[in-house]
Amino acid sequence: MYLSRIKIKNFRNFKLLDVALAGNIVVVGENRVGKTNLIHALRLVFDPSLPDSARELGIGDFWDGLGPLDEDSEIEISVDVKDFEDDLDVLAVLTDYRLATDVETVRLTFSFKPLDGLGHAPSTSEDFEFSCYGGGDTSKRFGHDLRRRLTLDVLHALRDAEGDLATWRRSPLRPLVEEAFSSIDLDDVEDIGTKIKEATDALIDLEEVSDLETKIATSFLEMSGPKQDVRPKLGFAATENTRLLRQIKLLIDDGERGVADASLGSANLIFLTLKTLELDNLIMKNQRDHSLLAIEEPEAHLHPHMQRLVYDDLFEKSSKTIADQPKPPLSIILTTHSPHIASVAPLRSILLLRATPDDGSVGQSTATIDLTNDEADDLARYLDVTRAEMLFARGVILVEGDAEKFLIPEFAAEMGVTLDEHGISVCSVAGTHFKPYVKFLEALGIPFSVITDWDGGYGQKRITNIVHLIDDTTGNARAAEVAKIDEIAATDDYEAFDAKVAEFGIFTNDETLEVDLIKGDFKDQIIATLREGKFGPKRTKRIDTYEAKYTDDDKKAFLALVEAIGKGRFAQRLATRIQGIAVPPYIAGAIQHVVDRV
Amino acid sequence: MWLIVSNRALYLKAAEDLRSNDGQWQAYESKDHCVVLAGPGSGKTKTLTIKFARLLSEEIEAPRGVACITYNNECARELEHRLAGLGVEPSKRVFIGTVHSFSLTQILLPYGRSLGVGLPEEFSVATLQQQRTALENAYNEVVGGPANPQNARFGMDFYRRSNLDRTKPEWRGRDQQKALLVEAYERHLRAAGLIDFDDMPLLALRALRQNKWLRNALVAKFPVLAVDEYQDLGRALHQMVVGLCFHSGMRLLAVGDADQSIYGFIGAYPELLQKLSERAEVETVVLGLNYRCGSLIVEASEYALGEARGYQVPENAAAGTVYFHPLTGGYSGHADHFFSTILPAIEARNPELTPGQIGILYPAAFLGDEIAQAAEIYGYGIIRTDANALYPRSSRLMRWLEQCAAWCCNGWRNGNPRWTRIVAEGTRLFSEALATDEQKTEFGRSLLAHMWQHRDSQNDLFDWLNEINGALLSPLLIIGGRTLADEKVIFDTFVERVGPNGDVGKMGLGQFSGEGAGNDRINLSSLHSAKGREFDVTVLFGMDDGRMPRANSTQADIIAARRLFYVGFTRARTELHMAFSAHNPSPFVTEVEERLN
Repeated sequence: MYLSRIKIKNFRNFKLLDVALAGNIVVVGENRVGKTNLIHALRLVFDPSLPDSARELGIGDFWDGLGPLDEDSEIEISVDVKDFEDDLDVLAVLTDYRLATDVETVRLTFSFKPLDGLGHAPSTSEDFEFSCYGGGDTSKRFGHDLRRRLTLDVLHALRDAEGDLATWRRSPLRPLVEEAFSSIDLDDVEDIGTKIKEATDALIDLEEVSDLETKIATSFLEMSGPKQDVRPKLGFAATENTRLLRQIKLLIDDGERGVADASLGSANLIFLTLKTLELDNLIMKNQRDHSLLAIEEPEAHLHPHMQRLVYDDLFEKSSKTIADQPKPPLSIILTTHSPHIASVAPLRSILLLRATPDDGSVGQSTATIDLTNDEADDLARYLDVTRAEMLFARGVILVEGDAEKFLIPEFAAEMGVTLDEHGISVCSVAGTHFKPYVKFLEALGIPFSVITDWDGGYGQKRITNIVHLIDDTTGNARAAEVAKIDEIAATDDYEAFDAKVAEFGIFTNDETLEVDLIKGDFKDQIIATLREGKFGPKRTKRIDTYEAKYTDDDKKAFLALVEAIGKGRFAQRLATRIQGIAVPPYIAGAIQHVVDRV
Repeated sequence: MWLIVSNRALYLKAAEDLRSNDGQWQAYESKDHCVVLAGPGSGKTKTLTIKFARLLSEEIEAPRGVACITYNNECARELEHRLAGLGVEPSKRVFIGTVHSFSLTQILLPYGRSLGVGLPEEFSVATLQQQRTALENAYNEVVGGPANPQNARFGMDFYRRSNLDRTKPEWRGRDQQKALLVEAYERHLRAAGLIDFDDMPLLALRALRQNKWLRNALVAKFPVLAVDEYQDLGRALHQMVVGLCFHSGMRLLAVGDADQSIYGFIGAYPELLQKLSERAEVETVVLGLNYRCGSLIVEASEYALGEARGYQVPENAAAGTVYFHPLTGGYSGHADHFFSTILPAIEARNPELTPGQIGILYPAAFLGDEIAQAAEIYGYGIIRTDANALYPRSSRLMRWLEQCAAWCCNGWRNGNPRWTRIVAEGTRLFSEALATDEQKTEFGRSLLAHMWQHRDSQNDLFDWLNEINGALLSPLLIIGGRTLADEKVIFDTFVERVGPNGDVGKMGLGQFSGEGAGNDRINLSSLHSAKGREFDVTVLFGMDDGRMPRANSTQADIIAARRLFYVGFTRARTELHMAFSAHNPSPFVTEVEERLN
């Protein structure tokens, strides 16, 4: 099974969130946008450890913008589930909750609304009641019986993993040890208990230790009086066989140290390991049929490499498909700020939350994004850490290569714009294959512009394709404008073409950026940067020629010099020299396009 | 709530009883499809219930469960009662009920419109009056003419139950008028947002045929399907069983006895059980040891059936006796003779016997009237189970009200029946109307408040019923309309009959509370309703030619009547009495008498 949709109405940050999902969910978004509230919404439906008293929400849980509450005010959280027929246990639990209009979909709903027939506007939380029902039919109630089989576990942000590991009751080690011990004969353990007792006795035989023990016992007795005496002793552990298992501790470094000595990061990792083992166990023992594991900000305390390694593995585990086997009974739900985690997240798992001034937080997801398999592969491959930054940006400028990536922030600074302040990222697609990125950003509703080469006319087809793509993914709202662009493209009126596609956020330079710049107002700066390359006499002479006069015939050799320095390095150095010169209009246009929209 | 087998020791202990009987043990140990062909008194219900408990405890793990379909609510209640004794409590994992309630609660109500079988968005079960109206409209449309449309009912229903696949040309080919009548009748019901009882299994079967997801869902919920009294469950159920068990992966545990098939006249076919047992993938077990009847009665029962079955009795079983009573003076004379002469002799032979251990069985309800009148003259109490009974014994609502009445009379004082059971049964009865825990709690609370106020056995039944109806039942019956429509009709009819203008006359609460229980009254029952019951002393009354079998019977009717005779015959433990007109005995009686001599 997998979660195929979530709809949240009037709950905390959300006026209406309604997004498609594709199983695992990676929730990204700025602080205070409602990531934790989204997890809490899922808990209201799925978490058996949440008592019903916590499902009795309060008036403060309604979305602030709702205004005065009336008898129709309702908080509604609906989760749709699909593919629930493979596992017969899951099917048995869910089949009653199919939608009448779509038997392939199960809907589970939490609702909090005024009591029936209240007769006045609700004024206190007493006037409300909650209910959990399925199939969109309020008479089909579900409760603990379902939550025990399809369970949400939450690992909260910044949890005290070390403390939890150290406390027996809260330790994720406890159920594992108890399970392991359940098949051990207590008599076998007794022997071990005896040996521990012997060791303890041997310890006490040391005079210094027994003196200390006596001293403690005497002073305690003096302070407490005989009635309160707890008879303190020194020793390693309780030795009674039923209590022995509680003495088992997780040790690190080959048993050299206790877990308290582990780093925060390791402690978290250990916690997560034990937790996933416990989930596996529950399913194996048929006490549960599917786990929804929600982890808030798992990046806390984890080194970037570890973040990628751990979560890559976890996602792998939850989406592994073996032929003729049901899908793994595990769904992962993460909230994160980490591009490292986003970079390993399954492509269709991204759910982006964004605050709006009037409509609360809204969300968009990549679940139903229309990508061909090749495009999806491309994007997944390219979604490395740097590009995963896109997800955390409010706006994106897509460029072809590193030169733009380094230079554009400086050009923006020239325009008095600090990209970081606006949350705008410049992302290189390392080539001209913009399509999957455009689809991805459109799906998530992130404003963007594209800077691409005209390539002596070869680029025109690519540009019109992108225009068509943008219009297609937004429901062909601008079909008339697109037709116009097609019309102009058939003529030689390149200026009109550029102006029109700019309205779609696509900006063209005539040639490769460096060539454009040397032919434009940046010749002196480029020559100066080239000279820093400390070339030999032959190539220095070539630079001299360019300084005197640069012609189109020099292009190949010029670019070879830039390559020799390294495109990125060259761009970084050039970036320090561009102050005080007018920003090329197509770059200014691309920057302004995004700035206006974030 | 998932842990429904609360005490494994209970059924494990009970299972030890099965060990000495090879057939019962084989059924208990069966691992795949199993059909149990069980003769009378062979402990089939016991075997079925113990196996059921074992399945739930050892083989079928939560959240999946077991469904058990049986012939009527009475049988369902009996199974529930026995399972409770084995530590199996009702839960979501267990379904026990009729094929109608299985169809309704597991298929039609949960999935409704998605089934694509033409169910209206909100539907309810038609009352008798609504069915009559629909039939009248359909009849005028299809047949017309001056005849009473209601007379077409029996033929139409039979045709509907027997011809299941309407996509085949035979549907209209066999009897076009009947087919068109059925179609029109159903159309009129649907237009009014209604289905009738026959619709339930028919629509469910069609839904199962059309929707693979539905078959999968049922297999997921109920990996094992148990069917009791298979021989009387009809074609629709048989096809459901074949589809679910032999094509979709459900496991079957069927129990029945073709010799005891007595509902052929409404569309049951004893051959279906036979066919089932002949399938290659089915393990067939025969239970041939009769623990109920005396050895002589077992021997005579084969003459009654007219077939040799070779059934045995356990060692040391009593012989039992078969009595023939040729009587005169019409049926009122027969009844009088029974109470004046035969009954005192029975009592003299069996000093320990209570009236509750006596059953008088007859082929038609008017014979019950004769016996009831005589009983009254001779001062015997009776419990009737036939078409002229105060209300159908299978009514869950009426049986529950009897319990409520018993609590009002003495139960509040002596804890019998227990209050918790009354509340639990009531909550289940009205489950459709009591959706939330709050509503359930509120129901229990107001029920107690009402009962406490009316706890007096001197109460007039008519007033008591009206008060509980006003205070509690009416809203529940309206909301529970889809599952309780028939119960509401039964209730309303009964209230009318015990009211000031009714035919029954004044009745006290105490009298009503004893209706369902008590060993101090003689059981009167039609032969059909006696199915599955047993009595120490069984009297077959009115065993005349022309009644057993009826006059003008076809060969098939005679065979069916003979099976009915056999069913009545095998209810007896120690004494079997046959009362008949001296000049006109049933040929079945004559044959038994001749062969015994």
